[in-house]
Amino acid sequence: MFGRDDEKAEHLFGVAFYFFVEVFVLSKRGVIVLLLIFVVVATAFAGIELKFYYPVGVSGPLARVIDGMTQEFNDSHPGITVVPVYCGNYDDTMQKVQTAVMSKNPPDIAVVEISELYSLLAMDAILPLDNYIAAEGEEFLDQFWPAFFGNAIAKDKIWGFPFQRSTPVFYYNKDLFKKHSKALLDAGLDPNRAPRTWYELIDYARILTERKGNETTVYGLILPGGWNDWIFEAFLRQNDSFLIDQENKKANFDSPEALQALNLWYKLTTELKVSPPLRPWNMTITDFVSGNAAMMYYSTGGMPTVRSMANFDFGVAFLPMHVTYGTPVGGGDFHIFKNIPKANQDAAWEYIKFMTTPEKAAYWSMVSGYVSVNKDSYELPEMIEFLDGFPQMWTAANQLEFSYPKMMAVNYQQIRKIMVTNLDAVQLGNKTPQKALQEMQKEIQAILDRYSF
Amino acid sequence: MRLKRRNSGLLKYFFLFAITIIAIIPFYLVIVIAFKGSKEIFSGNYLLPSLTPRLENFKIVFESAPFVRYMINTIIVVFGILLMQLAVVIPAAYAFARMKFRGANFLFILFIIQIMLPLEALVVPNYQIVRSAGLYNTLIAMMLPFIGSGYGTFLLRQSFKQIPKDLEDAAIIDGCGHFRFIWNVLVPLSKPTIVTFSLISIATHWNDYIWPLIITDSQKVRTLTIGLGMFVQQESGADWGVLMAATLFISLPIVLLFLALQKTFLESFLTSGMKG
Amino acid sequence: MKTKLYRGYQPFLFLLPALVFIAIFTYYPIGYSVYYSLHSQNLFSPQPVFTGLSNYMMMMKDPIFWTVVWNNVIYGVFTIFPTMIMALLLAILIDESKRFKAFFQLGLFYPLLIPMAAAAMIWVFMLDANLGIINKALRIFGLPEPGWLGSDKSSLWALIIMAIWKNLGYYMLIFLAGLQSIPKYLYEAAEIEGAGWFRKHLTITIPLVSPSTIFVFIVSVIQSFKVFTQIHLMTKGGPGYSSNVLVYYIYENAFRYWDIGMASALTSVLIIFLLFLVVLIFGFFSRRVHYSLT
Repeated sequence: MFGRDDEKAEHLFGVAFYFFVEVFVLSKRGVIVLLLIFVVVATAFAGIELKFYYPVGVSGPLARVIDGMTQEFNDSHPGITVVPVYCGNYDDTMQKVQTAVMSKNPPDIAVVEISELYSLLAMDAILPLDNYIAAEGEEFLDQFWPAFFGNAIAKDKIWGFPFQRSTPVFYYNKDLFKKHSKALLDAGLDPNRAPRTWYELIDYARILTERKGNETTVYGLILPGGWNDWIFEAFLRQNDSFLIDQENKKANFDSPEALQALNLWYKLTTELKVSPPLRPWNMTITDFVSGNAAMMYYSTGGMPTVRSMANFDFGVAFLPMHVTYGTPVGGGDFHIFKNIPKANQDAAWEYIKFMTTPEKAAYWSMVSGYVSVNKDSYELPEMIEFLDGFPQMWTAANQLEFSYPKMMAVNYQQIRKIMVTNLDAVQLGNKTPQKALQEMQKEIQAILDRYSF
Repeated sequence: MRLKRRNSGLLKYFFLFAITIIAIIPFYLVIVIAFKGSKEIFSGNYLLPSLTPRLENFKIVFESAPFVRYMINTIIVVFGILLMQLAVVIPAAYAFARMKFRGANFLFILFIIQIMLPLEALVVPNYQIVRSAGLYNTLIAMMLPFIGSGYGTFLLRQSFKQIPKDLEDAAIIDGCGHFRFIWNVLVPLSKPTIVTFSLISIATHWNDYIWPLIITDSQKVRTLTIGLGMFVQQESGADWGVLMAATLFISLPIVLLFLALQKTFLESFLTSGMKG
Repeated sequence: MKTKLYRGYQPFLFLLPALVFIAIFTYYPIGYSVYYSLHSQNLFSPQPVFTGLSNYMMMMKDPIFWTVVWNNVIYGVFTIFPTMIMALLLAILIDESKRFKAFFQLGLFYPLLIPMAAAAMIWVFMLDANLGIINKALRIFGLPEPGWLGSDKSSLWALIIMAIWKNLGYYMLIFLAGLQSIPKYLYEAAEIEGAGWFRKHLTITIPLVSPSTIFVFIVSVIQSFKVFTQIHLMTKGGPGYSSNVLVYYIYENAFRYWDIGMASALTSVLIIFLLFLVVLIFGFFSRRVHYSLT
């Protein structure tokens, strides 16, 4: 509860100081000497303290894990103390970072959602990492999945380092599939695997939905709310298209591909009613594990929670394709901030290296469900053993082959808000897909035009 | 005639019981669910207390976040606010109640206006002020905006006004100074009001959320409400049992305090002139 | 002996501490808000630039602003009046009952003591469209089940219901206190004249309890503008902007978008509105109930 070593040190120090004051107090010279000693010792003792703002974007007691890993780092790196500050979810953490930077009191390190990179750059808040990376030697970067660096690079520099990375994946309840195997087989579908295409998705969802009179007791599929912007981007990728062209700052919401994707959503939620209207991001998992939904789109980061809570056999697959398999990546990267002492920046880099070694990245992946950013993790014996017992965890890593960087923009929070508002409206049946896309196009293009870095 | 009265009496009781029980249901749920595991909760049958109460939920709560520290911080902040409020408000109420001076009305109106402007309306400037004073992320910062309580001044002024003039005259004859008079006469006689105000201040600031949210970020100074808020975001959707255990832990102190002091509180409340 | 008229600085000495705090944390912020509302200062242009009334113009044209104001109005109207009426009714009933008084008082009052953060969690659980007890109950009666926090049509109503639950007991106690000062013989006289229950309370109680009514009204108006915690924890203003209110919108503008200019403009509007209410309330009521300020 209280036992932080630095606090103990402070107390000890206070006692020692008092003692010396008693001895020296009458002599003026003594007091000066004392003060000098105090200053010297205090500075030496102080060491470097780094403030680390981080989010937890999925269910689970991950703050404890971060605390534990950080404590290990602090213990093994005398002279550096990283103080992790849990800031809530991705949105809350970005707000805290923004507020801190604008108040000229930035944290030393932070993890923010990858789409916010451009916002950080527009605020001129972060340090490019190229020099640090170069100093590690040519082969350093080879350890890491290149797919994740798409969201860390801008203007030919590397501004962030991947840490908690994910892709959305497709979860399905194998027991419910077995229950409906006859109906599935009759429809020419395989009850032993997940739907592969959008068309199959509709058919599976129809069959798996159970109703009792007017009430739907089991939904075939959940398209979650909360991060439906991320999931929607995935659908565009599956349609061999995109939502924002970052090079040219062009929004692509008014394209036929986007309309097809959103029409699919509308059909599933409002017409066929095989997907519930708007479930919050966190409740989606509850619905799935309690058996109220047979399939769900969710982050790979939810997997440990699903495993611990579900009392049925579940499978994880790639997101169903349309023209191709496709998905954006997700998650957050480490950033080192400007306007902090160079010593702090160097120390921050040590922390980043520590947290992304094969061992640490493997551990983090096993506990959180995120993909390990370090490819070498997958060759470690503990990781191999873990994956043997939990093969579903391979899915996200394998899906990286079909992944794209997540779209980024300055002031992405606002864009996200516009998307979520409109997608929610469509999922609730309050807006037609055409109207929603038109409005998103107009408003988002305005934001793209307005801000740059 | 008598039958009618008894029937209408029964109706009244029925109505009162119904509403009170409905009001109590949420708390009942918290208590019951805090001891359940998530499988039981998901099954939908969570209304009855568990036959095998799961104390593990509480263990998880305390392991996940330093709730005891949050509790201590909250206690420090809440009592700090109260003490400073009283220290500041009692003299002010005395001045308004017992002293005649130019500009008294105008200044009093300033205090009244303060009641109408909750902190929530003024968060942004207050944030900038406290931040530039270098007090970001301190326990003291969480107390400052609340100390000048127009509400407390108003209440105590009313209460002080009701003390008979004779007492004051007698005190003056006795050579009693202002402070002696306040401390030995006004305060004891205004005990119901002070008690009521104190309980309301404690209950209000135990509850503070937006201000601690924006003015602190580290665990060292975090208070219970923020701690719960953050905890919720982590665990949300996964384990309601654990969440309710945390909720119970946070609600219990004040409810227990109140239950213990209910007689005192109700008495003070009903006689203190809170009625308007 | 007349009260001495203090000419010197003495009274101000007593007032000083309180005044200092109020000056720094209430009045300076008001000036600050007005000042910065006339400037443009946001995330991507952090230096304030004087732009006059442009923030206000943008605000007037912003449909979200009007949605948010409207939400505040609905929330206010439907929390203040139903709660006041129910509180008075319950106070009367409790006053008239001979037994179980403490049980009713405590059972209705305790919600006020539960920290809003905790209450929010309980209600999120109860309001869950699938698991929650409210929809379960509706299901039993075959009534339609709203999506509550997940639907833009019912999210504000969910908050309203929770607010009523939370504040009812407090107002009830205030009315109860007020009822104590109504002389009993008035009721007896009315009963002798054959007045029924409704008549009795309409003609005696309601007029005589007016100081409490005013107090409750003022407190509940202020409460309705303070709504923040539950929104932050339960809906974040959503879905869309359906449960967003002015204070939360100010918070979003300041801490999410870092648009200090706009946040200050919104704050100024809120302050002006609250001050307007103060004038209205005191102007209206001081004629009816005598509050001596001297």
